[in-house]
Order: sequence, then C-alpha cells, then structure tokens
Amino acid sequence: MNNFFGKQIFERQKAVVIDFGSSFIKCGFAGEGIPQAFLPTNLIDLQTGEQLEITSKNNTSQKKIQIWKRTLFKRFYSIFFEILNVNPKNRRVVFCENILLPNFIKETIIEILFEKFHVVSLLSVPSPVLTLVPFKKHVGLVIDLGHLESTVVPVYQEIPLYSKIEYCSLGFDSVVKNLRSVVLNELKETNKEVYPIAEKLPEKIWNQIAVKTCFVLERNAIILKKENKEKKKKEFIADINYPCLDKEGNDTSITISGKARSNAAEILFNGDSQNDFEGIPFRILECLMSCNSDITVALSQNLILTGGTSMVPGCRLRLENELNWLLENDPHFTKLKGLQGKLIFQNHPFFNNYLSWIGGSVFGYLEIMNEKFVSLQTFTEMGLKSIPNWSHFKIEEEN
Amino acid sequence: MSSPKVEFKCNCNTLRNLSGLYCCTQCSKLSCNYCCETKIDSYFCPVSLTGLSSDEVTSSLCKSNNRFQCPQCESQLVFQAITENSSQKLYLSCNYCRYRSDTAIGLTFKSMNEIHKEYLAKERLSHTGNDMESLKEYYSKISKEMLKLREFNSGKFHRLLNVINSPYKSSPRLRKKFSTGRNFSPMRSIYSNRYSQNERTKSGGSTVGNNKGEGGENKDDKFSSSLMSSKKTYGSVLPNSKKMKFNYTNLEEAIEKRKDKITNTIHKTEKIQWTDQIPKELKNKFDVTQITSLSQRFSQLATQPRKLSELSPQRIRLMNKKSKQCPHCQHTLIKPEINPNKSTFKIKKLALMIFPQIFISKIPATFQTDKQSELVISFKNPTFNEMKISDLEISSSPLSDLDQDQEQNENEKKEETTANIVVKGKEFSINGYDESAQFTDITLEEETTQETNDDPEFIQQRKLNKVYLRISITPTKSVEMLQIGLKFKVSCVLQSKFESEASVIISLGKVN
Repeated sequence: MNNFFGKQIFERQKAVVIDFGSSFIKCGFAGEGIPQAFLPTNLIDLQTGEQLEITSKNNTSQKKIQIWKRTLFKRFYSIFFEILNVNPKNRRVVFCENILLPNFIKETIIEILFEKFHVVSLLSVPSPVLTLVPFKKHVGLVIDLGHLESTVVPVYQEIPLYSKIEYCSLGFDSVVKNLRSVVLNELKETNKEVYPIAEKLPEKIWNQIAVKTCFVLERNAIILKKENKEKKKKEFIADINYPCLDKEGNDTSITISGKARSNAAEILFNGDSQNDFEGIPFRILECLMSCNSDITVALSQNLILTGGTSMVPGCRLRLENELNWLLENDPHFTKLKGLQGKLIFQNHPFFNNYLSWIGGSVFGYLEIMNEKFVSLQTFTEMGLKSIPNWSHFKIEEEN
Repeated sequence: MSSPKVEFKCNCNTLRNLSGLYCCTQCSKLSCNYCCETKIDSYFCPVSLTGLSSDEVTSSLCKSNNRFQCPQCESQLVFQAITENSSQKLYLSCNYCRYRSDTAIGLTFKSMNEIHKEYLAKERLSHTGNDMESLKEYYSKISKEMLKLREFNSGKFHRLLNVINSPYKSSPRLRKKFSTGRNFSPMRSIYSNRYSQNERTKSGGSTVGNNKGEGGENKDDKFSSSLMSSKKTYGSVLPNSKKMKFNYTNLEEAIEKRKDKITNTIHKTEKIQWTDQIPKELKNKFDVTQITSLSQRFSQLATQPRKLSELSPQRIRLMNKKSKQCPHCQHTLIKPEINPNKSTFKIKKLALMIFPQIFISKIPATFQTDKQSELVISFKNPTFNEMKISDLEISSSPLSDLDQDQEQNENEKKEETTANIVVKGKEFSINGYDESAQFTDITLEEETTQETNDDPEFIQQRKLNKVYLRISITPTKSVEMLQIGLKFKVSCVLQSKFESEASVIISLGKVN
C-alpha cells in the first residue's frame, strides 16, 4: 500500500510458491527469479525422535497420520514465520506437487494450509507442467532425476499423460549407497585401520563425499577400460583423501579411489541388476515407444532434464551417448531407429535445481491463473477433503 | 528407558509439558502452539537490533541491508578498517573461522553506505533479472491473447455483430481479424475458465489422438494471431492442421516424415551452467576441503559455485516477533513489546501462572505385578491466593481418552485395567505463594503442624505452597510403560474468579 498524492494504490501481494521435494524444500515468492531458501526436509517426529520416511507403507493408521500432521505443521510454520516472514492469512499459495508423492501427504498438506493457517487460496500444479515454463515450450518429455527416484513424464499442451509415465527408484540415494559399498570393500583389503571409522560414518557425510568427488565418464572411456586394456589411451583418475578423525583424535583420511569415484554414478545408466531396475536411458526410450505416434517426434526434440542429480558433472553428455548407443544396438528399439542423432536436449539459463519452482513463480504472477486457485470459501462450503487434479476442469458438487 | 514424566492434555488432544501451554482467562481453556493462531507483529534485524516496517522488508527481500553472514561458517561478519596510503578502506572479517573478504575475494568498501548501492544491486539482478522478465513478458502476452479468445467464444462479440447487422460479414479483412479460432488451441487447457461450459469439447480435455486431427476443427473458425501462425518453432506452438496430417498409425512412418523438421529454439542461450564435458581438474588430485558443500552452495543460489574461493558474503535474514490468539474466543494470549531491544511481553497468559504444577517426588525403584507400591505426587500453587482442587479422579487407562477411533475405544474398555489405584480423598486446598516466607524465621516443622485436619493417608505433607499426595498402586499386568490418568477441577482467584478443568497423564515406567 503506497500513499500516492493522497490516493492509495494497492499492490497485489505476491503469492508464496512452495516446491516439496524428498530431500529439499524450495520456497519463495512469485514473480522472483530465485527461491528464497532451500531447506532440507528432515521430517523428525518431535516426541519419539524418529525420522519419517516418505512412503505409503506403514503410514495409513490414524496415529501415524496425526504424527505426520504435527511434523508437517512444524515445517510449514518455520517456512512461513521464520524464513519468509509472511502472515499466511493474507497470502495465496502455489504448491508444486511431485507426481509420486503419496496421497495422504498431499491431503494432510492441504488440510494444514486451509484449516490451520487459513490461507486465502491454493493452486496445486504437477511439477512436470511447471518445468516446461522456463523453456517457453508447451510440449516436452520431462526427465526428473531426484533424490529417491527418477521419473519420465510426457507433457502435451500442459497436460501430463499419466498413463505413459516411466519411473524407477534410482536417484542420488542409490549413487551414495553404491559409493559407500565400493569404498568399504576396497578399505577392507588395503587399509584395515581406517575401515571401522569409515563404517560408522553417518549417511550425511557419505552424501557430502559423493557431492564433492563423484562424476560421470563418457561411454567410450569406460569401454576402453573394460575391453581393451592394451590400448594406449588410459584414463587416469586420481584418488582423493577425505580427512576424518581417529579414535584418539588424530588426523587420518579415507582414500576414495578413482575407480569408485567414476563408477559410483554408473548405477543410474546401467541399472541395478539386483533389484531388476533398468537404467534411465532405457526408461526414456520405453516412454517414447509407448506414446502415440503423432507425438513422438515432437517429444524427441524437446527433451528436458531437471532435478538435482542431473547436476553431477558429465551427466547430460553421457545420457546422449547412451541413448544413441541404445538406438543403434538394442533390438527392442528398432522402431525408433530413425531418431538416432536427432534427440535434442533443451537449454536454459537457470540451474536444474529449481526449474519447477520457476514455473510456479510465473504461474503465481499471471492474473489469468486466478480462476484456477481454490479459495478457502469453496473449500469449507463444499466440504471438500482435497483439491481436484490438474487435468480436471470443474469442481462438481457430489450428488 | 524413558524417565517418568508428567504431561498435560491440551484442548486439541496433544500432550505437552505445562510450560508449553497457554491459558485464556476469559474462556478458561488451554491451548498450545499447534492450535492457537499466530500473527507477525513487527520485524527487526537480529544483529543491529533496529525495527523495520513491512514495506522495507519486502523491498529488501527479507534480508537486512547492512549486515552480512560468513559464507563458510554462517556466523556474523564484522567491519574492520585498513589504512592504505592515507585512505581508509573497510573489509569484512569473521571472528570464528578467520575469513577475510579482502584476501579471499578482494571485496573492500569505502563506507558503510556504499555497500547498499554496489553490492546489493548485483544481487537483486539475480532475483528479478532479465531471464525472468522475458519469461513473464512472454506468458503475459499469451494470457492476453487468450483473454481475447475467451471473449469471442463467450458470444459477446457475436451478439454485438448480429445487432449491428454487420458489414463485417461481407468484408473479408475484418472477418479474418475478428473471427473466432479453432476449437483446439494451445494453452487453452490452462487458460480456460474453470466454470465455463462454452469452450469444452464433449470429450473434456485433451483431444489428442482423435481421428479428426487436432481435435474437432470447425471450418467456420479461423483464428490468426502472431503467435499461432508462426511456424518457426516446433513443439512450442502447433502448426496448422491442414498442412500437417496427424493420422499416423505407424511409428516408423511418422518418424521418417517429420524427423527433419527441426527449427530454431526460441530461447537461444550461450551459457550452459552445468558442464557438458568434465573439467580436467576433476580427474586430477584436488583438495576436498577447498570444495563447497551443498549447504554452502545453497546460500548463494544465483551462482552455486563449486570452489570455496568463489563464495561471497551474504546478507543476514531478518527476524520477527509474533503474537498469539486463543482459537476459541479470539482474545490475545501473548503480545510482545515492539522495541527489539527488549524481550519482555505486554500481555502474557501462560498456563504456568495459573494451573498447579505437578511433580513426582517419590517413586519406587521397580514396579512388580501384584505388589502394592506407593507413589507421592506434589501440587504447587503459582498464584498468590488460595487454590482449591476438587473432583479428583484417577484411572489407569488414560489412552481411551486420546484415541479418536471409536472402534478402538470399545475394544479397550473391555480389556482389563493395568493397575488398581487407590486414592483416599477428592478435595483439598493449597496455600498461595507467600513472598515473605523466604525471609521469616518460621521453620518448616511449625508449618506442617498448623493444619491437622488432613487425612494422613491422603495428604502426606504440606510445605509453603505445595501439597504432597499419596497414591497406592498395585499393577496387575506387566506392561512396558505404566500410565496413570488424572482429572481435576481448579478454582482460584486471580483478578476475578477462575474455574477450569485439567487432565494429566503421568507415565511412570516399566512393570516387571
């Protein structure tokens, strides 16, 4: 509100945009180019101290839902009052929802926002639709590499095609576990003193080690290593020492060999043979195969990479290599052979971390999206328990 | 093994320590952080302790203008001065991790006010920068065109035309300009009115895969705008359906005929943030301590640097003071002072000041089944006047009150109670808090002999403003955690008479 020559000009208040991921929550205001903060989602139950996992197993009893309510309330309380410095009573909220979030979490979030915080109105958009916004595209194949899992979703004219989704539980979590097992196996043989220290290190530190040291090699480099050992070109990758403390308090270090560093992220591309997961390039091509023949060419030229895991150095090049190799050699994909060399990954000037948040920021800024918001009045009058899906256009009264 | 504890039950059925509850004097109900309504009262900077208005907060993007945070350890940075050739320069330094901004990045200032202009202007570009502005312009253009479309489709313009008995129908140029578009248009799905029925096709939603082509085209409708007719971009706007046939049933045929139609992307960018090719530094040996961790990168979202040497100081986040309201009667429970130097409250209605505190003073070392043991509980009166407690009820199955499933309730009532509890009395009164008692010479023995009307099996002792009760327990089952439920009514005199109820759960320990 500004007093301008005695008149009052009401500026429309900016909406709050929240992106709820499995390892980080991004929050900020609509109309801005960067989120205000990245918060880690450590959902810890205050009374018992155990960490809550985002799955739908063992989480459907009434008691568990009460526990989830309280921890999510505490999280949103800290988002609104401690980080954004905002009264939620006057604000609209744009919620970027992950497609694979379990339903009970979505419903508790909506209940909390409406009944506890009395938010003015709420708009919830699936994140594949929002990741297309920074590219100014309306058609695209969204490849989201996340922390717990990765998904491939085709989007056509702002509608995600849910029946053609491909997903697998390969994310940065599996990269970290792979790194840990490889390093521990090596330490058993070479350096037995450091092994018990390395075994007791918590997951957070292994996460940090993976972030700082891991990367992905090109496909040619790996084949050279495995098949032709006699060739002159050998990729030399150095070992790295990660400092830590002894039992007595002296400085020692854990050596992370070059082999472990470069092979940790292979699990994303080759798949996990123990659990019968195929790698991510396989999933992308499967999705293209299953889509309607009218769309496939449009989708293949609009491939979009998002997610924090895709910021591992060398990830995009490797994906291109793998896709072209699969199109050439795999008999399963003979129908798609014409696409070899024609797959295009789109560019953008932002970071992969918060692409869907930017989409939410643009949607919260536009005036035409006002009709899509569900207001507190309709929620309470119609007695709704949840919000209809994005592709559902009307709120119908139940007869 | 958890230690024994006493918890009060709030109106929203959560269990809390008495120190976490608020009590409203008007409606005499308890409320906790989970159920009461909070509002922000005032904003302030935590380092310089100056107040701010809400306009200043939004214009400075929720962060203070003058105070900075160390990028390595997130503690406060301090200004220090160097004199170089008779001119003074300021730099930032951290007292905890020895970070200095002039040696690390070469960041120096002439005066405190200069920071406000140079350094912050750069940071704001990232928040409302050129990339974001171009996105917003593009989408607001599209939305305006869609609003026009909606007006035409809703029939307003058609009605006008019929009234005027239009010359527009005859002139083809105007007809082209104002005629309505195809039924299926890009982004109509999100820009359509949620409650309107005019625009929906019968299938309701995407019409991809229809045999008609691009979803039921009417021959009368032709819409041409700058965006729609641009055939330069493929995948951003669908081309004219007459020229491109979408009736492919064979995937290979579709790929052959359309794979070469690659065109320029709208968004030409030269800089690619995430590396396509791995930098050679990664393959060689490097020092892990010189690389940023994730939390250090996320404090600078605009650049997210990989090396420690590229980090720069960030502004400190502002804080606020909140006031709370009772959810039942909307009276204020807590109101802080606006002055950020003071940490006192104008209005403070805590349950600690009204309700009696309950402590466990004597508990047996172990509980065993079918053995009688004695428990001693003390009630402490925080008010200055006498307090009366009545209708004391103790039961050993308190969980049935908390569960909200009705089916579970019935099952549990049929189960046996886990212990037999005997309390010989229902009412008693506690003396008020007497400040002068600390300084008088009355010994404790004389006090206890003053009241002799108490049943010694019910009340063990009285001391100043405390009363000790005896409870005898004989557990009948071996349970991991033995819990007792207490209910009582409180009546005391504050500024006026106050009466209320409370229910307490005491968890004792393991029963062998």
